[in-house]
Amino acid sequence: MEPRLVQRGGRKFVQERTIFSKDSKFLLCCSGTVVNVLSTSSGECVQTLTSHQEAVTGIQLNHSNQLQVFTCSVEGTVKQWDFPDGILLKTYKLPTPVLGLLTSSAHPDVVFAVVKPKSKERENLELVRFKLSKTTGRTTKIDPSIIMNNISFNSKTFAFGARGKIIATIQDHVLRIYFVKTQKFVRLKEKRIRFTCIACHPTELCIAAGDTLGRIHYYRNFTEVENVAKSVNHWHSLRVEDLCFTSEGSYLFSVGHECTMVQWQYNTNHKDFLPRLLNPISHVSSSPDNQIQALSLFNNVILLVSNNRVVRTIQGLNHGHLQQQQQPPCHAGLTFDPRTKALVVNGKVGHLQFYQVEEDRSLYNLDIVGQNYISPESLDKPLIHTDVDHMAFNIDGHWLATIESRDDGQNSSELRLKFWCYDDQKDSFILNTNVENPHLVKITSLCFQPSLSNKEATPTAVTASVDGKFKIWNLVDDSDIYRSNQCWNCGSVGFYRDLPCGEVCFTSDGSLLAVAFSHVITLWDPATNVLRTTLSHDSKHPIRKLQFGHGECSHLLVSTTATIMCVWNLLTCSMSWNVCMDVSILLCDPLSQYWVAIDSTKTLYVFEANSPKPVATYQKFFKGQIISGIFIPRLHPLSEAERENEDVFPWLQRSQLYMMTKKQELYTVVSKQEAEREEKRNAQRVQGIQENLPATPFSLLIEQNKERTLDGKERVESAKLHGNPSSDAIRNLLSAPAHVLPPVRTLCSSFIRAHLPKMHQDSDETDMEISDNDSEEDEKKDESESDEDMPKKKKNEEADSNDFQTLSIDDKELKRLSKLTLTDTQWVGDLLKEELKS
Amino acid sequence: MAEFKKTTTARFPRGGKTLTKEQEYWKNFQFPVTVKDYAGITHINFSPLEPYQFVTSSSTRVQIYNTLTNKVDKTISRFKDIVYGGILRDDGRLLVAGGVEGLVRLFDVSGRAILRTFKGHEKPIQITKFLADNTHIMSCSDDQTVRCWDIPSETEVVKFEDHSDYVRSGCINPASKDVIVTGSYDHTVKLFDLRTKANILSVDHGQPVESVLMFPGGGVFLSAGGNYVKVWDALAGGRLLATLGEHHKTITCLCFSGKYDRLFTGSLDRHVKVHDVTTYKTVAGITCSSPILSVGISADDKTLAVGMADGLLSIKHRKQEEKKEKTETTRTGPGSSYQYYVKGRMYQPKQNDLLVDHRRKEKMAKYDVHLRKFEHSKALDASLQTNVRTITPNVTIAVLQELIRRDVINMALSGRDERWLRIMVTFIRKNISNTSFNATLVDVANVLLDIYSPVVAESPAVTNALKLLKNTLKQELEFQDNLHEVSGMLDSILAASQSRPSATLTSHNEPLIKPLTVNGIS
Repeated sequence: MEPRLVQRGGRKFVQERTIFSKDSKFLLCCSGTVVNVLSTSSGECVQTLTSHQEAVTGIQLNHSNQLQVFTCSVEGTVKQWDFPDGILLKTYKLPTPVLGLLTSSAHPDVVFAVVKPKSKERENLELVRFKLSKTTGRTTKIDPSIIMNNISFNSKTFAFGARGKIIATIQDHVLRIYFVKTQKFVRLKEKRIRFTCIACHPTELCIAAGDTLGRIHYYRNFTEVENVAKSVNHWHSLRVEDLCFTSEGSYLFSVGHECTMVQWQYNTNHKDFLPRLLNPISHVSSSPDNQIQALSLFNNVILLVSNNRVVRTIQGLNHGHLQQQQQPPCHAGLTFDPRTKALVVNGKVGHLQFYQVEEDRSLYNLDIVGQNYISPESLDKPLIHTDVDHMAFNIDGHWLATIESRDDGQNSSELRLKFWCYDDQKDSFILNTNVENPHLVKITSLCFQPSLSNKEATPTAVTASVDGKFKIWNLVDDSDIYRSNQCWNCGSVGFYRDLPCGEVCFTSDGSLLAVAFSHVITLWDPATNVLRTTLSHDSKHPIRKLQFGHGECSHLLVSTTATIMCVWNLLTCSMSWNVCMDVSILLCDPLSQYWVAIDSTKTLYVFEANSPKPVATYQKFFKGQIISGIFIPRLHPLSEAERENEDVFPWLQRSQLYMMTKKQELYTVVSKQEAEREEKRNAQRVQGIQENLPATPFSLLIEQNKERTLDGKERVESAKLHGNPSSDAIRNLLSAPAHVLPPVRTLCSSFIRAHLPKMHQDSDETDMEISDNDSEEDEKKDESESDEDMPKKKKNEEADSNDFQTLSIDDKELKRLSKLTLTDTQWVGDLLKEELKS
Repeated sequence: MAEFKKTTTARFPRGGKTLTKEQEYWKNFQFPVTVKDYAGITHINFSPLEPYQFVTSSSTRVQIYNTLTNKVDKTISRFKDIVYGGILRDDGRLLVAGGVEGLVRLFDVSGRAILRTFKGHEKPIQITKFLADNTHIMSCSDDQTVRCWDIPSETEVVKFEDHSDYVRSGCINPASKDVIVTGSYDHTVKLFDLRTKANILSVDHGQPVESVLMFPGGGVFLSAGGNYVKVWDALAGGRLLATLGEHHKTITCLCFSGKYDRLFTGSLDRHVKVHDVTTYKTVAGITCSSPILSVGISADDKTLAVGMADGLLSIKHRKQEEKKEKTETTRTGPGSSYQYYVKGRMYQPKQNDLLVDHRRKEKMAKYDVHLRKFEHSKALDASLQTNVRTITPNVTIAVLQELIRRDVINMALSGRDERWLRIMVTFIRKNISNTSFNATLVDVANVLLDIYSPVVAESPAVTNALKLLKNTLKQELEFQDNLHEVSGMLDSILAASQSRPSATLTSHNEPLIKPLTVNGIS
């Protein structure tokens, strides 16, 4: 049984420019090998176009049919899709990888593509064109004709303009314009300008090109090379990342690293801004009706902007990490929030991101540092931002502790410890205590004490630092006459031989604190802060990771160094066993006795607490570099039957293992069967969304309910339970179209009769009740003998009580209906009286 | 689009005690009205009836003050020598007073006529009281006797001679007309029963008793002498219930608040302390200008009168609860009419109207406005304005930190004139010893020196300011050295006292302040 790595989140969908459908209802974006169709009104993914084997590199609309798109891929295919239904219509095979597409409404039957040249010597790309075939065949081989070569690859570097008359492309200092009709070229070389992106006016002969200094150059009248009219707009301070005209060309949007979208009015100098979008923007596209702009942010978020306001945010796992940042991505590691059951990682700069793993949905970003993101003066000299280094939740998720730091090497470093309290009313974390400079230098570890069995114990947290001290923080009362408040205070400080303090860890019951001081493990009593004992061995390598076992082996302590992994028995205070290996990541499952170690060769070992022999070893299991991992308790705990089912690994029965790679992609380890099951489930979910556009959480809920009620057996059961004899009559009444129904007067008597309980039936049921009661008494005697039948019996009893309720309701209805005789039309009353008499 | 985040200014915990509700209540008096008398005011007695007049005894006269006007309503000055213990009957119509003459005199308050004179004491009479039945008077005298007098017949009813020293304090039992409590300089407090004419209880206070007081229930009484107040249970045979020792000089007077839930003690250490009678803890204190001889408070807790040894009488009235006065708006112009403000507010949108919600602009501080616009020098100027840098230096520090974060501190600091530099250096000097600011200010000072060191010699003012800064740093470093010495000494003492292995706890007495590391300044 081989485990599989399944990607759960962090698929990048901002690599390429997004594109709107003709009716502006859908937004299409490339995400790895698939294309996602998103609804612009709800932001939900309503369709996924899956057929490409390799990365999708471009999407373009089919201008002859507004429900169709073309996509291209590195594998050398261009595919034609019906995107609302997700149907692949045609595949065009090209001889070389396709890196971009261009279509224009002026040339509905021609597709322009950027491809790699056939001869492998040349690195630069070629622009080719091919005609769409009218044949019905699914796959067509194409030999396209070359128009242009030596172009650089980027979706931002070429554009159609002036009603399809020209194709403009840029490469470093050169701007080239290709006239489609005459097949002529114009080449403009600007020695002092290095172009980054280009956009063409949709109707006029005008080209806008951004450069590395943040200027936007307009070129007009370029048919005559000598008299090209140039003008410049300059607002951006860093390179212009992308440009986009509205569909009529009255506005130009430009974006860049300033986190601002600038809206330029065409031919005037007027400009509008949408500032502080929190992350640098890589792409912008405008919808055909000009109502919505889609901004692709570098942190893997798409913002839909309408009327200069962000109306929707489309995001999965945010890539919190910008390339300019010094720290490695996700340096605060992965943490599990026990309250929302969300994974918590670094989000935007200075934020924590709460990410729902099951639904691949980012819940919210919690601002920790409260500072504005400021774009740097130049991209080569990035600013150093304050960011979250460590975080920890207490056992019920009520408290969150974070450590943020900023160290630029020149000025004195900032270090802050913050305690956040969850506020039920505001539904978010509120800052409770802010400790400036809790330690002198870098903090290495932060953790909360798991609450002891008596719940009155005050919450306690521990921080450890390279300055050789660890501090125990307690929640203390800070009330005065104006308010009642609690705050965190440093209770005590511990140190050992002036050694730098490393990892800290509590036992699962919180009664013992293990602190690693360089190569020595010390054990402390957290209540009194008294050193209990020390554990050490020959190795002088500092201890990297320290973890207590859980459950049955909570007396065991694992420590890893660069050369060895040791397991200590705390009952005897001696080493239980050790293995010589270089463990880079050690993860303990909080719900079982298993732990997982990943070594530098990307091999996954699963250990059980009491033996040095791994339960399972998977050689070279990971492809990318794993930077962090976590065990998360299963959201839907497995039933007994599923547990016995052999397709779930024993070490994954209670928890799931999630791993974060350096590219900020989130993977989970599952068995093959489980992966397949999940795929099915996901497909169903997507199906559910598709049927009900636009999907909202409410509509999803309704959808589920509908499915349940329509399920044949269940419906019969529910009818039994709720004693609803009229359901058939109602259905008949509602299902038939209004114009074929007989007059209401004729229908009414049968309809009402259906609502009334029949008298003889009533007496039957009461008889049943009595006999049931008898049998219950009998059963009570038998209860001690047959415990296994209990659940069934209980169900019976519940059903009986339900019958009672429905009867009483019916009585009430009777009364209400009889009241109708006084007020309502006479004929209904007559009918009722007849019924009551009978 | 996210809002501009304001600069977060760090708030640091303030040292010192927090003000409790009780303290606030007892501090909530108006500025006292003081009246200067010839000699120390030995007794203050409030009438239990409205308008809570009070009687003061000082030198040779007894004065009745009106609490509403703070003026003397009546003065009785028919004494030939110093008068003690002037007290009103609870109906406010009769007044009795003793004095150095050894006579107990009874006055009619309205006519100031002497109604009765009780002769018999041979030495000054310190205390006179009406008994609970209002027809008898008790008096305590320096001749070591306590006597009771019948008012109608002007005769002595009983004489107790159990004390062996001056009897300087006494009180009646409010619950019984037949029991009196007296305290004497022979350190004892004695209870006498008029029916049996005998001493029924005697407790030893341990110090000369200056004042005694009995709770209205008659079960518990207090005695003040020396620096202590002691609480005794009379029903349990004189069991000591509590000892209050908050004063550091002799306590001279005791009194209850109107509801008998607080005890006031006045002392020669110039403090009046308020104690909670359920816990006998001090809940508040009032400081006066000179040693206190007498204290009294009206039954509604609204007037507190303190008599002092140098003849000052301080009358404190509780502050009136501020009534919000309606400020007459005298606006003219477009904002004057009601319609101006409701214009458009009442409009109900129709079904197909496009609603555009109005966003109110958030008010931002000046430096934030400049920071938002990337005007860094102006932001620094705004945060260095006099009121900002003196009242809230943490704001200035926060802006400096923000500039460091944005890597523009060099630009913001450079290109300044002499006056500005002097202000900046002075600001650094004043705040660099603050541990919360020190790291940032050291950085800023280093940058400042890097920029201006070539030209600083041209300006004597800035050079002077820098010299002062250097002195401050020198002192600070010396101070740090001393602190380290002290902490080293303490460590060794603690280690010796604990006599445990070295690697154990230090409960937060690690060296609090690290030595300053200043590179550029020396």
